[in-house]
Amino acid sequence: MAGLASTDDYSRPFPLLGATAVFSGAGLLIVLKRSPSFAEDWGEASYWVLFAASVFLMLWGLGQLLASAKPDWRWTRFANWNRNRMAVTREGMAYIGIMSVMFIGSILGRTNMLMFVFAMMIGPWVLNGWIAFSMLRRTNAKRTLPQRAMAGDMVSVEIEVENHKWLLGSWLLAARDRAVHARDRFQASALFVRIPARQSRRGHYFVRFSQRGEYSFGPIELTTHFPLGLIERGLVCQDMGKLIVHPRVGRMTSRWRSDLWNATELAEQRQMRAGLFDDEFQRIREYRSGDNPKAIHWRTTARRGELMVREYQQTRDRDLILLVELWQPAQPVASDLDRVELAVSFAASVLYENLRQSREARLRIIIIGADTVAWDHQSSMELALDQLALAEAAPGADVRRTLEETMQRISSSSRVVVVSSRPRSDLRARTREVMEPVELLCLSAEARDLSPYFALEGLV
Amino acid sequence: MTTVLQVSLYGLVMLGSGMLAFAEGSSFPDAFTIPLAILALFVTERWKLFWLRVSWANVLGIAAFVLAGWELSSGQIEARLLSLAHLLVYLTWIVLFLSKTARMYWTLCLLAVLHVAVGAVLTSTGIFGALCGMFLVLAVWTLTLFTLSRARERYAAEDQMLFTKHGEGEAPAEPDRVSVVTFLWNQNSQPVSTVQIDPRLRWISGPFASGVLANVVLSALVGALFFMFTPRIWVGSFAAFGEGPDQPLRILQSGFAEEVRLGDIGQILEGTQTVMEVRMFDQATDQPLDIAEHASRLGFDEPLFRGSVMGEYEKGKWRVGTTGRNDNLKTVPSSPTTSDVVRQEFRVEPMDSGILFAMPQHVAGRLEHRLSQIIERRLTATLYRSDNITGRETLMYTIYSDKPRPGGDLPFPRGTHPSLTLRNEVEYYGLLPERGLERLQSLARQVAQPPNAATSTPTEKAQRLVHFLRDSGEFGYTLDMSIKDSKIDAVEDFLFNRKEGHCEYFASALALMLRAVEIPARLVSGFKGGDVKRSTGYFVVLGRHAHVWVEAYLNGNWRVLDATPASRSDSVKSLAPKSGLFNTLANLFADTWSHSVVGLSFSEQSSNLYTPLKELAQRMWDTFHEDIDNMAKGKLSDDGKFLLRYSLLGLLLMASSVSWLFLVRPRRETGSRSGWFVRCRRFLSWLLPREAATNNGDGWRSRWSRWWIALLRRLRGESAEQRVRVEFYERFLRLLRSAGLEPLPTQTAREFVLASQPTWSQRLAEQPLASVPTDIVARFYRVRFGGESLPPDELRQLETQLRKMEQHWHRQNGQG
Repeated sequence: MAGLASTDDYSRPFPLLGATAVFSGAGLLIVLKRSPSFAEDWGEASYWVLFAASVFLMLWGLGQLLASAKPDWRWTRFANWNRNRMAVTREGMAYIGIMSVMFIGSILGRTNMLMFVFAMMIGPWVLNGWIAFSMLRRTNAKRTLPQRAMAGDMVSVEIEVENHKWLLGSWLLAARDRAVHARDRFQASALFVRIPARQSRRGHYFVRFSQRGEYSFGPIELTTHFPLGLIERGLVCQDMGKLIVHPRVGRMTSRWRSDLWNATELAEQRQMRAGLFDDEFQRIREYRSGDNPKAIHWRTTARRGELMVREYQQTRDRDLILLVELWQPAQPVASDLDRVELAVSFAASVLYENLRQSREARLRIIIIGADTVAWDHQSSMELALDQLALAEAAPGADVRRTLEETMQRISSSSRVVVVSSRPRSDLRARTREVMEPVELLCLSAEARDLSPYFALEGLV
Repeated sequence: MTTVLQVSLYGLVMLGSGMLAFAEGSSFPDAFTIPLAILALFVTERWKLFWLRVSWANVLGIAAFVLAGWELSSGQIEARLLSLAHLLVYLTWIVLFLSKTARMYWTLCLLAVLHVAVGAVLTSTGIFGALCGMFLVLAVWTLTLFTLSRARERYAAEDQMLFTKHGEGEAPAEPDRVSVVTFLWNQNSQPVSTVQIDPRLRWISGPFASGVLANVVLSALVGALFFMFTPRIWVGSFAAFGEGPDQPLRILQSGFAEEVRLGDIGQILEGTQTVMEVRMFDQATDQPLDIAEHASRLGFDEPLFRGSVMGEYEKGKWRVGTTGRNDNLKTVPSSPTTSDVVRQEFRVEPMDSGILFAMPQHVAGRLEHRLSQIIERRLTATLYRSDNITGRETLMYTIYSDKPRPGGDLPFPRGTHPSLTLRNEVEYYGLLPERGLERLQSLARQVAQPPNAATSTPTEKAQRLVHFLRDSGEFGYTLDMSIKDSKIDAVEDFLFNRKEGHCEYFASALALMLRAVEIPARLVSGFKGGDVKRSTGYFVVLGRHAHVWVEAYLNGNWRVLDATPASRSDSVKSLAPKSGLFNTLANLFADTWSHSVVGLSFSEQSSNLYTPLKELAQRMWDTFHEDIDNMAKGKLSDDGKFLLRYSLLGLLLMASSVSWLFLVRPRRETGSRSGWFVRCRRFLSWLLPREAATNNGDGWRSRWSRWWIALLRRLRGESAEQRVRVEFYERFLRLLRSAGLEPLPTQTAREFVLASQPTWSQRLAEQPLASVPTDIVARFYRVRFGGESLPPDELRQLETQLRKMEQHWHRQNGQG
């Protein structure tokens, strides 16, 4: 039986019904053609009825097979051939096995009693398929998706199933949804125990997304194996949807600010007096040679018995330009992909950190990947996260040209950070010759470069 | 539901075991499953005091296989099949005491089905068929509960998983550095599926049980269709279970045996089970013959169906004998050389003998739908099947026999062995045991040749002996088996001590006394008499018609002599089934079961199903052709006109339906409907009102609409709690639903209205209807929970408000 939360089987179920119809039709046709006296023995009407039935079975079965093999063809969609499914559950396979033994035993053993037991078993089998099909008639499923989600977070997806039947309620309807991503796929389901006639029910499932980017949802497949659990019938509802998953956001460490300032010098100025703008008092310390005597804090000096001075620290943030180079070789390996994702997560984390700590600072992010896109603080944050979510790495991504252009234009008070998915040695070599009017921090998206600044929740 | 499922499942296992025990005719080990199942239900399932570990279960499983293998090889059971049945029983015992998972429950179901399947091989009685029906009901009920139960278990499992994943106790670890290579983005997304359960849902309710019952009925119908239409084209002659004439797998209590032990037949003579059904036809004219009349023309007082012939007697037991068994065999021609014969059609229930019964004197015969032939033992003229499959199914065969010749000799069996001289044959059937029958011989001589009589012919002697046993009044007929002196021969005990017995004693005494006076004689077992069943026209022979008589060699021919008193016929008649509804129904069921299930054959399918259907289709086809031709020629019969008229009407209806589907129905969505459609729709709405049209009024129309809606809801399976609804509130809810507003199961009516206020307040702001929703909810509370009845003025006001709301709402939808 198909599991509710199975993620290992994304293949379409084999169209058992279609294949059976084709083989039955073909077999019947062969029997008719090889029995020239059939029409004489059984009448011409019987011959033509059986002939029409065999042709219909073959055509219908072929349609089912075609719809299963090419579900997106216009004609298969138009003909609704692709909507109905039938699969035999594991219990059903055991049931078929026993039924077959009964039938073969009765034929070989010449006993009507075994045939009676076989007939007693096949009745519920057929009814199971018919009832399951009836449960799905005039039902429909719709999905309500959030527009965006964050990788690593649990998201609820709502599914509403409507039962438009007049009298018959639907039991044990499983709405099986699936989503596809370039590097990920999953399916989940919401089981509705009972949907009364002419009513609808809402259910939901949860999913924790692992990949950033766009997930395509749908179609939703309504399945049921009620009442006996032997045959599972399915109905495909073409409700499609898309959801953008933002990159996983980590936490910038305390060293991010301090080290970045140390590296850029201009970003850190301690003064003995208050600045013009938003400088603020930081601490009182002992007097050192060269300190401005005006900064002496006399009350504390008197209390401590030694000279103490007031120190101010400039807390006004500088502009930050973050260049994200998403490079990967033509044949990437796992470590290449890891670096790309880590670089994107680092950029997203910087974005959040900037928003949380320094709302007045201007942040500009330039993503160099398959396409080069830029974002600055005047645009919405969702746009930046969308761009980071959809950014793709490419072998031709090169940060050097963008870096040179950036260096030429920026003011001396800006900071520039490059985070690249290139290996560390490669990145150093490419950025060594770049003019450095400001201090430049180049980080390769490797553990030893990023770990001082960045921690990512959920990493194991 | 868990308790109901457990009880149902264990009940299913017990029923299957009981059926197997019934089929096998032995209570151990099959029926022992029943107390074990009850024990396991409480000890393992309910109280959870004990369950087998898997390792122990494996050991016991191996032991079960070893035990079944020992049974198979030891020869203590009748057939290999029984060892398989016992293996199933042992495995069931083990599974009963295992800790139960869903897979274990399913395994128990399968084992129960296999019990029934094996039982079906062992028996073919109607009672077993009735039990199969009960099993079907219980199996469908149990499987349906099982499916629901698994969904419920999943619900619990998913709920627990969600709680574990988001529980407070599990705070996410916060790593302080990027140090490990395995990142989350190398994994797949993790979906968690859930189950939506309406908290008001009653899992097992009346509609649910009705649905299961309907499922059972429809399943039985579908199964019956499969059973009837699956062609009985048997493949090969598989005898996997090793049964043969000497090792009967299943013995029908027919009363017939190839060899007779005195006293064996007694209880069987009380049997009312059908053994065979006979029809006779004049082959030349194909007209049915009256069998009793035919028997009378042959010289018999009742129809005699000859079976086995026995020649050797020793210590109360008659055997076929060396000469009788080992004589040459002759294949009986399959068809007669002339049509001036009687055709006897037999349908014999399964029995453990290969002998074929027939009224004398056969000239040809054939088995229906079989490759095997009929063979005849020349010395005794008995008929056998050439194959060795017995005891498994209803046998159908046809025997052709000579017509009675007017004024001719009685058509006694010919029975002359070509390799034996007549003298040898006569000597063989004249042998008596050397010791033990001295008093019998003396008595025979006294009776056959009384002192006052002159020299007697063998025929006269035989007649005296028959008269002595049958008509003298010295001997009585009884089915009592008691023996007075076990030290002497059973026949002498009958003649000199008991002086009463049944046909075996009378025939044995006559045969031995005939031999004592040097008249060759042999014992013949078969059936005598029967009843004509009016419903089918068959001459039905039951177990109580089993009979034994004598053939004596007189005047160069074997002649039938029957010394059993006439009170035997009275006894047989007294055993006839009593009338009454129950007995009538039981007999009807037994006959139907015997004919339509156990004895269904391809010829019957052909004659009763395939051919009528074929002929019907052919007639329709021919009629159609003929009418088309007549139409082309411009002439049509009355029947043709009738057919054509209704065909055209059907076509018109189909065309109307299609046009409604493709033309009218799409236009409904645009609102422009044709006039007749609207009128029809209004009429239907008036006749069968929708829920929206119902109200709380007291008029007949309001009552009718409320009754109709209540019926609809009952049919939809809504619980009584759900049916307690207030119509105007339901109408209001439907209106909100059309705007996508649905109350959550946890919301009260007031909470729902307040929560959805932003939506409806916008829509109703332009109209003076903004306060209507809160008014409706207030009234709803008064009616639903306060038990009030709204006064007519308030109801009218409510109706007006609702109508205005609906109009306004739909107008806005149309504009939208």
